[in-house]
Amino acid sequence: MSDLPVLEPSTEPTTTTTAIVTARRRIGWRLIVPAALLILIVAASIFAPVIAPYAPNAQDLASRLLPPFWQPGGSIAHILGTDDLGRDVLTRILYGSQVSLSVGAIAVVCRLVVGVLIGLIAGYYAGPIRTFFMRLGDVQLALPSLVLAIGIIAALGPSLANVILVLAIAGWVLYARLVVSEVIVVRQQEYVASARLLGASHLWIMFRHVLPNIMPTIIVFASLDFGMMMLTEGSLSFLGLGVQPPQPSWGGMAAEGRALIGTAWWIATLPGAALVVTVALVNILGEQLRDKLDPRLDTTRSN
Amino acid sequence: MTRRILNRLAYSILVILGISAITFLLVYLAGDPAVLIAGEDATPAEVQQIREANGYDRPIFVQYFDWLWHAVQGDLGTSYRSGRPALELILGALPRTLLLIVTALVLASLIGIVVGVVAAVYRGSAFDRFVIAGSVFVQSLPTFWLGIVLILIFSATLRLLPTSGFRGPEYLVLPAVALAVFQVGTFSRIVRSSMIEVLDSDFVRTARAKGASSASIVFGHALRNAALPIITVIGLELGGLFGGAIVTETVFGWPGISALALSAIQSRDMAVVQAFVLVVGVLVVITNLVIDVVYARLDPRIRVGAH
Repeated sequence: MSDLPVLEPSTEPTTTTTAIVTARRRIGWRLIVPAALLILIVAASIFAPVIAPYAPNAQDLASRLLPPFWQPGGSIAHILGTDDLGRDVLTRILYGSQVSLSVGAIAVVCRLVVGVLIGLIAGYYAGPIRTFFMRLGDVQLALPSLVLAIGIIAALGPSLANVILVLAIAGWVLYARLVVSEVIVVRQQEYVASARLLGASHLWIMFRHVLPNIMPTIIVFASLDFGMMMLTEGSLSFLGLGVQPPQPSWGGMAAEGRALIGTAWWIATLPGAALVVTVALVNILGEQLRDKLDPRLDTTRSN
Repeated sequence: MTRRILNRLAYSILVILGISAITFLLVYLAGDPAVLIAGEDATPAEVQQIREANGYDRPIFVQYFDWLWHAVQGDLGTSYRSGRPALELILGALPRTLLLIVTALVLASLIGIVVGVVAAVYRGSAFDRFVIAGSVFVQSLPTFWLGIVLILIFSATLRLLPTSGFRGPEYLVLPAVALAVFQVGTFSRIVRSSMIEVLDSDFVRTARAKGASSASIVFGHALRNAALPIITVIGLELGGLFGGAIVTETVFGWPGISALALSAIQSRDMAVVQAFVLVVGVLVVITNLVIDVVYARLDPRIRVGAH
């Protein structure tokens, strides 16, 4: 897999474009398989109301705590069993995927946009602006994001919107730092000086010259961040700080089933397993993207 | 060297001040603190009275410095639910949280170092590829799910270990493992890549050329040099460990600071939440300061270079 040209950690702005061209030529099954599976999951999530055999909150007290169909006592009517209120686990997993995927995606977009904008400004203009944002970032990085989340959600109250807000607030720093260090390098390139001499405005240079150069790095980082966001959303919902019951979410379902783990293992473990599979696919895809687009970010291939 | 430490110290104090400002502002994020105390059906006159009695009518900067002045003296307000000082509550539960985090950290670094060194020495082997793939997988595991699965296997099915609470060392095993697993992925990757870097360096090649044995190269030369990045990563991962500890403590009913903070959220007991955020933030900053100083002592390039 390492027959890609090994790129030096060089500041040549052309290396990333070369990498993209190389990537187009070699899109192998390592990229296609996880991408296809992920598309399948996204499709199942979007079409949950069509595919799901039941309504997400439909209770059927006559068929409470049914095990998955392959276990004795299970039935094909509830493939993955039912919970203590007789709700279909498969249905709730399908609907729960909507929360994980949408919160993950919206959170990443918010973090990315805010972080990249701040990063471009702070990287482009040295001086007090950069110092302010970087020091603010240091303060935030000292607070673990789940701890900051607890503080903010304690103040604002638990809800889906607040989870997204918290994730955006806690995460812009990571993108901004990434962008600042890249912008500082790109800014010193001769072509930026030439563009300036030719009369280009600062804004034009930022968005036309600097941003396209750092885009591959940002995309790779965001794809890995997406998995992280889904995990964090799951944790917050598990802690009761995110999606509120009875709306199904993978973390919330795990919390509800936690007490019944000795008698009905499927309620708590299956939603979590869905999260594991989804995040693993996202991470595999992210790693593949990194190999193709931005080998400089790779920590495992530093040889 | 001393200059460097003083610089870092000043910087750490600034960061702690920043954290204290965020912590202080949390109360205002929750809404008008006077209304919060008075309750929703209080008359405007009652609210105004509470506002004046608690000093909420003063300029916000004055309130912040007043709060900070008390905070420095160890007074972070009183938990209105239990009636006890908020800081006392958090500090009382902190040792159990730290026990969990330190155990997980030791576990993760030991496994990470062994796995990372073996992967680096046998670079490109099947084991090495397994480690890389495994670290991606491990980082896709949500801690709450891992905890539940561990309970299912070792408590509910095999009945080897207790599920929740803390009444003896055996209660520590499952939570520490659940918390450590995520970090094992990070540590083994960092150890692997920094080992590879050192193994490829000139001085290792020289040692090899002079006939040093493989074991003495790996343990005498390479691991000693690769230890530096590992120490830094421990500092960087500490925040993640605190975050993971919140989830782990909840899964295993561990009587640490997270249980306090989470029940404080339910009752909007902001003083306890503030104490929680501030204590964790200060701990992370101080640990990173210590690590920075240790790093400077260990790395001759910094120790000698700054004279």
